[in-house]
Amino acid sequence: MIEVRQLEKKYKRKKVLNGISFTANKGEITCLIGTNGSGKTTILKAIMNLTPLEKGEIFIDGKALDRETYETIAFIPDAITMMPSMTIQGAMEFMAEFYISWNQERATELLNFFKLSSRDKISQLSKGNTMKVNMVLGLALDVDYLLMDEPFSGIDIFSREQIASVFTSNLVENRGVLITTHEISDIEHLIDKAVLIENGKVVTEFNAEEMREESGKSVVDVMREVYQP
Amino acid sequence: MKKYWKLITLIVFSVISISTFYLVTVSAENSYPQYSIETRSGDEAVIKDLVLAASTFDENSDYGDMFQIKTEGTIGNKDVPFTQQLDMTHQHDFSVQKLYREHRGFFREKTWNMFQYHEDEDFITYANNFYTVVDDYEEIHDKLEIAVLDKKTEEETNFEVEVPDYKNYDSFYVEDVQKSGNILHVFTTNYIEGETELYQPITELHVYKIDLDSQKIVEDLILAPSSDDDMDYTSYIVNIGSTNSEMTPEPYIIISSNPTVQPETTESGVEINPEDITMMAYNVETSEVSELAVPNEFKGWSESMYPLVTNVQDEYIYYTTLKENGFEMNRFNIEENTMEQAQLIELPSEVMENFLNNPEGYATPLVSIKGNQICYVSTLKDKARHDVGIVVADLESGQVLYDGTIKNSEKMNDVFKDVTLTIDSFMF
Amino acid sequence: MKNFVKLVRFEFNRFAPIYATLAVLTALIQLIGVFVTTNGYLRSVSEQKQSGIVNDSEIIANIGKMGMTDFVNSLWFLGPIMFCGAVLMLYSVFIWYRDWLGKNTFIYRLLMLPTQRLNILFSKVTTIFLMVIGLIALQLVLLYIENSLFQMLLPTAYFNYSNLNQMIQSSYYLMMFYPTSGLVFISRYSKGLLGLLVVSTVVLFERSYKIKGLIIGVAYATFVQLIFSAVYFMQFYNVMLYLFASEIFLISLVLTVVASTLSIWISHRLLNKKVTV
Repeated sequence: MIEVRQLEKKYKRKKVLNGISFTANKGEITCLIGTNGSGKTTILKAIMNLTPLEKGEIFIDGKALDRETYETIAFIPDAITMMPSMTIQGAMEFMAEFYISWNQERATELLNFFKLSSRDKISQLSKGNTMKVNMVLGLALDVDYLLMDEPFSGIDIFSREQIASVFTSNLVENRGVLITTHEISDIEHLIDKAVLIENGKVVTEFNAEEMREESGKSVVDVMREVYQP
Repeated sequence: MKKYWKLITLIVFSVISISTFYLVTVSAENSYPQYSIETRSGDEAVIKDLVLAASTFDENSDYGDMFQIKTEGTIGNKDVPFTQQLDMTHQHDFSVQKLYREHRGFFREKTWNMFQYHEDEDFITYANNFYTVVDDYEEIHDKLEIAVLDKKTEEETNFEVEVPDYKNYDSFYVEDVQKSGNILHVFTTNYIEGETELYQPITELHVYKIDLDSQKIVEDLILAPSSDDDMDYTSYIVNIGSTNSEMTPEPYIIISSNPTVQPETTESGVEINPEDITMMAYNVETSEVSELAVPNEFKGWSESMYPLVTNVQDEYIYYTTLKENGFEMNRFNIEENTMEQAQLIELPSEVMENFLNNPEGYATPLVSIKGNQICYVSTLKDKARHDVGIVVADLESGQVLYDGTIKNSEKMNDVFKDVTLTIDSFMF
Repeated sequence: MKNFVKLVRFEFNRFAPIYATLAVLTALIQLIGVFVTTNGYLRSVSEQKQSGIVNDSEIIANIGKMGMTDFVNSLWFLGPIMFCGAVLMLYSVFIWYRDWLGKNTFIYRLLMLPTQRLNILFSKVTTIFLMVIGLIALQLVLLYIENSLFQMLLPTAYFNYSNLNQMIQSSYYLMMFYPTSGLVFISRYSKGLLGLLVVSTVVLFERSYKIKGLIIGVAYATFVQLIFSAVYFMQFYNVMLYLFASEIFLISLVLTVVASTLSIWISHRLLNKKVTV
């Protein structure tokens, strides 16, 4: 379980995070929802210690983050984390060299699924394909948790369908996924848990299926209530 | 593994290249010339303690270096421990090296001019001019700083004394230091503001007697004035520039006071008439000053000048004149105030060639006296066929005990064989 | 440790093409310089002969001999060295920023590697240091080759042979790069290493705190520089030196170790707790 407690962070004068607390469970897809600039990406970066916090604590399976944790949790940001001059093959070799949890078989499988050639240079790929490579770099790691930041933004519809189908596959089944997006329509049916954020705070946190059964509301309904009262 | 070849190549190449450089190229044989002393006649045992301090210059590469030459060979930068390489003490006076080795704490923050030190059995004493800084930049020379080291207890005593009438002087500098009992005799050249009519500085030679117990100046004698009614004078201490062991006690300090006149032939500069020069001896023990009856042909305008070399040792002044058939040595007895009979140290013309006919600047040989032996060293060896000659003779009999020269040793790297070698000083 | 080596290899291979170009360029320009200089010199010799001075030794008395000791102060020789130095100095900063700027988010990857973040610092600094050493080593070999080239091209009478020591002694820059004693070499180059560490610390300050960080970083670098200068200047306050050269040497060695440790510690804290993408 990823547990996040009372995160606070200022950016320039504004409090971007003002006491964020929530949890994301293993085996579930948790979605962080909020308007642009509400701090979703910052939260993900903070979990990965890519940006410092003023206050707050983060626990992954009960432990604080250290260098070994990078073998159990992977982050797929909205830009590719490899050098553009590398080939896909080169990128995979790099990952294999440094990560014990790198699963080359799965990587090859995913490349085939995405119809990408390992000989391609990253700089020459389209935006959609670049994001797909980025996903491969994260998904091919045998990690327990996956963090994804806006995996669908700026991607054409066919690529989006491809990426969305990954979520239902066994590639994601037993892992904990924490995803941020504001294109909720693509994956509303996949989300297990929703965390709504506004003004640096968690406004509400609920299980999607329960919400539908008990109140008959979809995630989008709740969103409308919160953001456009 | 194949991805590592570039990195490995770089590292291996660098390690080999640089370590070869430091092991081979920077070795002693390749860094400076190697010389040896070749005996022409006499017993080599005579010069077993001889150490020459030499420097070289190569006009092709503007490269120069300093090192020492002994009978065993050449000692330079690579032959001394690393710390000494940095401090370069082996390139300095032998007394500097001694202080550095044996009394480093005392030596700190003091000058490296050995005439300002005095060493006897129990003490090393030091004197230096001291100044007070006024108003940020102005320096007023008003004091002497004195330091005394008790060699047995390693205890240091430091104090300052105010120089009487310091306001009359622009500045003063310590020339020599002697000691008798607990009185320190500090010899200084004092500069008075302005110039003489002949555009020379106005100087007085003083000796300040300082009582080490009371730490006060008890007497201030002007040994040589700057002028009197008729003449301007310049004066100097003969002992300096003619002795090698600057720290050792000298019983007599010889002063030469020279009246300066306008030269008849040229418009600038000064002329000295030897007859007008006054030579005096200051007896350190008694503080008495006596005038010396040195014959005119031996009174010189500046320190030892070719072909006459002057040395002061104990109670004698040694005058050596270079002649084609040897060294003609005249010894002046200070206590008896008479010139003794001349002594010729006979040498074949091929030996004297090393001492005569050297170009200006290298003409005057170096001389050192130890016990009753006198050692002469000529100072230049270059590819124009000048050679360094080393001669040791017995003072009483005039007999030549040793004569030799400096040759390129077999270890000499060809690159250095034509460099110019100069002897700066030596210890014997 | 293994990750450190992997990262060094990675950083080095990234820059290897440019580095190889620098090395080849240096060699080419210097060797061409030998040819050009020889030609110019031989022309002067024939000018002398044409004006009636036929005797070799007379000509040499007028225009001197030609050899490495003259060449090492020429632009053909020093130019490439300066250029390489400038490139490497720029890269010692750019090696960090290249992972942050533009479309590149490779810094994410570096920071998320399951390894000590300090290895990022060590690998970048080590790479630059190795590249400097490599060029230093190359130049030694080039000195030897250029000397032989002069020997081949010039008539014996006009060739001024010098050994490696003399070549170095005739140039201020060469004396700086090749001190005559192994211990001084280690001392001097470890100061260079310290410089790289300090530069990295400044970069990390900037990447953690932006403008404020840059100011702090520069202040830190100035502080380190001042401490080293202080050791030298402190004793010039009195006219005569208090510390002997060997003692200063020892002190500066100790200071280098202390300052390096401090820089590494600060960088460690910044990398782990303060740096932001």
